[in-house]
Amino acid sequence: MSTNLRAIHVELASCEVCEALVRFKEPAPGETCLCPRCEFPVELRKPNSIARTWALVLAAFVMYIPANLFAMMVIKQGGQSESDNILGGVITMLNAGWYPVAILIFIASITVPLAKLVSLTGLLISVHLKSHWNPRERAVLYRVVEVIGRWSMLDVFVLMLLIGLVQLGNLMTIEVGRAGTYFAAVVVLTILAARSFDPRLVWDALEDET
Amino acid sequence: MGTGEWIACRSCDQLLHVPVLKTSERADCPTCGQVLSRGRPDSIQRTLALSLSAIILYGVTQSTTFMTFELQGRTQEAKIITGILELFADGKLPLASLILVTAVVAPFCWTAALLYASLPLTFKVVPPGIVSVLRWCQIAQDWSMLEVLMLAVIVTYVKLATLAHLGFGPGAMALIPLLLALTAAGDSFERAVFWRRLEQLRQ
Repeated sequence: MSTNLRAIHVELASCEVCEALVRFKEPAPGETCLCPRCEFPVELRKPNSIARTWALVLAAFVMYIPANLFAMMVIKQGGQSESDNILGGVITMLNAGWYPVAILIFIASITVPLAKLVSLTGLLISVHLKSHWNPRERAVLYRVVEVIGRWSMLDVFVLMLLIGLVQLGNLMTIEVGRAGTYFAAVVVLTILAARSFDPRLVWDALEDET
Repeated sequence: MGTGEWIACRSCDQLLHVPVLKTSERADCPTCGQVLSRGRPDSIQRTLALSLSAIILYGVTQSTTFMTFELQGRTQEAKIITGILELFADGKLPLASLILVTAVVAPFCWTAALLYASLPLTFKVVPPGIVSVLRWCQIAQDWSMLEVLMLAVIVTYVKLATLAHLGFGPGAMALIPLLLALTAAGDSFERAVFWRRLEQLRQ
């Protein structure tokens, strides 16, 4: 059963923790409106959603560059040292004939973070422009962005397993390169960016001109 | 209106009345397609059973040998924590902390939170601090990424298989049922059911 009403029209807010509908009264400065069921602060919309998401997306874009340029992994073997950045690792896998794994790493480490950042940028711009274009498809896009984010941790976990396993002194040692920290930053920033974006803004924008 | 409750879709803010659903029924938002609620009448008992198995399997996964690596007669054994400690020792604090959270801390907090909420509620007791636990449960679930670790195990195997002899310890074996239990626990956990039970018990 549904109505044509949206919660914001009748000053109802949805509690983010327990999903209760809460009668929202604009709180006095320094106070917050609390959910009667779970006693956590309730807001009509995620606070400063647009500004926060922009900040996190831009920061992630900046971190994405060194994450891909610098070496992710350093292999030290018999006095020699060899280092690979993310793309280098993919190419090594391709040369070895491991096509499925090469494609997997390429998608998880290079495509997923970039696709997330581009999608969030697109969503932010569409909200700025008060776009009426396919809100349902944009809602789906946002949900995809939320779900795929975690898979960019793949390369980080591989690195962690390799480092734990390959510590054989002079024989062979694997260490993490400079890109590791930047890559971790990209993962965390994109996850936080996806979470700070409020998908309801897409639908709010549809109503502004009518 | 019958039973059920009014909610606002978390994705588009549409006001909707969601009835109490039967097993395997699902309610989607007619406006934006967001899944609003899934029918899990026995959510609490199921979550209890699955989180209990998950916490035992978690113990095995973390405390036993995860993988072994053999090169020219030398063998190295590693647990999940081994690589993380190596990273900490190497001074890679942000990377090491991120892995520690996503592969060790968050999965534990998530499982423990599910167990802490579902065990007393099954016996109609309200445990202290349940509200905070249910809130933190969501955050822990977001940062728990063991399924990605599973894929990473496969990739690591492929990467090193040509180089040396690789073996899996009991930890890696336990990861497979652990993931099954965690995924099923996540599926059976329906927050609306927990909150409804909590409200009933408080009255």
